Amino acid sequence: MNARPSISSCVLVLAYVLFPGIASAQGARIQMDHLSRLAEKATESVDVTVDSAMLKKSAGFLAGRGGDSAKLQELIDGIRGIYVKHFEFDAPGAYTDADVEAVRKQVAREGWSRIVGVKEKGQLTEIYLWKEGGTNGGLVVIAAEANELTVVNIVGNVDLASLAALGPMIPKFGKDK
Amino acid sequence: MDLERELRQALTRKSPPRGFDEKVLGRIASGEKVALPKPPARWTGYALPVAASLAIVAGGSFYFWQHERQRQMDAEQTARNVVLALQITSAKVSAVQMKVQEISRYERQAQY
Repeated sequence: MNARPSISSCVLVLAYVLFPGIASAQGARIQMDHLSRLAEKATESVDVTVDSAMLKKSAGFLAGRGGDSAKLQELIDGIRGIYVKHFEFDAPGAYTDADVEAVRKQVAREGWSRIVGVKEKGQLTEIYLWKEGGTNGGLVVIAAEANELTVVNIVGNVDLASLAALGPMIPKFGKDK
Repeated sequence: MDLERELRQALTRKSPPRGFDEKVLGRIASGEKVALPKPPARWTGYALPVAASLAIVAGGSFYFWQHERQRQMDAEQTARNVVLALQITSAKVSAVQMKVQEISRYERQAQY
C-alpha cells in the first residue's frame, strides 16, 4: 500500500470526522465513490452497483440457472443492495492508505462491528457487520493487497456462512466481464 | 403579327374529313361497344386507412418487442453483476475464513 493520501480521500475522511451525522444516516450503505478514480490505474476493475429494485428485476434470471440457484435465491432474498469495487494493478502503490482509511472510517461508527481482521505481509482483510434490530443488516469486506483492492458492501440480511460456501454453487453466466 | 396570324389559322373553322359522318354512323350501326373507364373499386377507399392502421400496429408491436427485449437484457446484465459481486465477496470471505482457521490451528499447536 502507498502511504501518500490523495486529496479526495482526505476530503472524504475530513467530512466523516466533521459531520458524523452524514455517516450515521446511511445505515449499512457506505460511500465508495472516491475509489472510482482507481479504475484508470487498474489493469482489471469491477464496479458493481445493484440496488433492491435491480435485484428484484434480475431474480427471474437467477432462478433455474443451474448450480444451486435455490440457495442463491434464498441468500439474495434478504439482500437490499450489493456494491462492489474491485481493482487489480500492475504494480504496488496504485492506491493509498487514505483510500482504505476512508472506508474504514465509515465502518468505525456505531452500529458496525468488526468480526474478522487479518493483517499480514502487507495484506489487510477485514469483515464488518452492521446490526439492525438484533439481526445482521449489512456487511462490508475490505481486502487490500499490494496489487489488489476490493471493497464489498452488502446491504440487508446476509448469512456469512452461506456466502462463503457460495463459490461452487453459483450459476454460470458464460464468460462476461 | 405572326402571333395574330397563327391564332387566326388555328381558330379557323375546319370541316371534318370526307366520310367522317358515314364512318361514325357505320360504327353505331355495327353495334361496336366503346369501353368506358371503370369506376374505382370500393376497397380502394379503405386501402389507405387499413395500410396506416397496419403500419401503426406493426410499429407499435416492434416498439414493445424491442422495449421488452431491452428490459430482459438489462435484467440479465444485472443478474450477471449480482453473480459476479457474490463471487468476489464469497472468494474474499472464504479466504479470510481459511486464514482465521489457519491462525487458530497454529495457536492451538503452539499451546500444546
